[in-house]
Amino acid sequence: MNEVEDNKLIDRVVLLSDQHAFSELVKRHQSALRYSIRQMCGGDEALADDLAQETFIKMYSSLASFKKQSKLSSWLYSIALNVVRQRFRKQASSPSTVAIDNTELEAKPADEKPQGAELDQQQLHRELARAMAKLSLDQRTALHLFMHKQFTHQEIADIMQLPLGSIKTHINRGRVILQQELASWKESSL
Amino acid sequence: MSENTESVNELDALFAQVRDSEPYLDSSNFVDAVMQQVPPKKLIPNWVASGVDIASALLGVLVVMFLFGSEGLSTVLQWLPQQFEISIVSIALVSGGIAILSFAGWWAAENLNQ
Repeated sequence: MNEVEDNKLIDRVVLLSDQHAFSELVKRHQSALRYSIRQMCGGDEALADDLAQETFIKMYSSLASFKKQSKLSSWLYSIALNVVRQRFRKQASSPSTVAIDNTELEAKPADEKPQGAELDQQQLHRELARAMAKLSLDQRTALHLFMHKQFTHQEIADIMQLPLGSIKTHINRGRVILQQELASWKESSL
Repeated sequence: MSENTESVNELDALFAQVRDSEPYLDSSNFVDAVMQQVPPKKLIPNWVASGVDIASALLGVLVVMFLFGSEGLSTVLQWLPQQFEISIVSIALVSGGIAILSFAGWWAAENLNQ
């Protein structure tokens, strides 16, 4: 993503309230952000799009406070994570547990699970999101940002506003749980 | 140990596969939905815009009076042309001047903030 182009668009939004420039910013970042929020929400697409919209509205109202030393995408992810946390806090009694439709995941019969190499790409993304739903929100987010988005530990710590050690712990624990999930996929495909 | 390493590698491979095949999510409906919720642009009221124009004019007059003394205004007014001759050349010159100034303004806005 071209940061210079992002900064130009941000200036137009901040200085001129240029809504066309803002819609360009949304266009440039919406796909990656919606995909990431889907991963955070365990694959619930409607909920993820709702939260992504809320993220962009918050971004619009606080764009003037964005410091260009960091990447816009990092800042966007930190807003998104706050939005997701707030929603889950409202929905669930346990803040770090996903309040998504896990019944589908749990009720899914073994013969519908992906079969090794036969996984098509779309199914792979959905299955990964479902598997990630077994992790806590922080584990899921840290793992997604590290393994998928390839942010560094420090960048993730800044985005999630957590100590570096906690980030490493979340990633390691998340990996262990996902490895167990992977093992169960393999068993079901045998 | 080797089993653990194998599953770690599988996990890395899985994420690499997912990363490479991340779908592009269609933007049209989503962007429209976001833009409908964005607060409308705050327009400057007419009286503020007029006030800025009048204040700028007064400021200009004050600057001229300060620079040229009490007879400054009449001196500056003498510099202004008393009559205009409209010709193709004068129109072309004025249009060209405006075009050059507009281009310079646009270029400065696009490039000087980097």
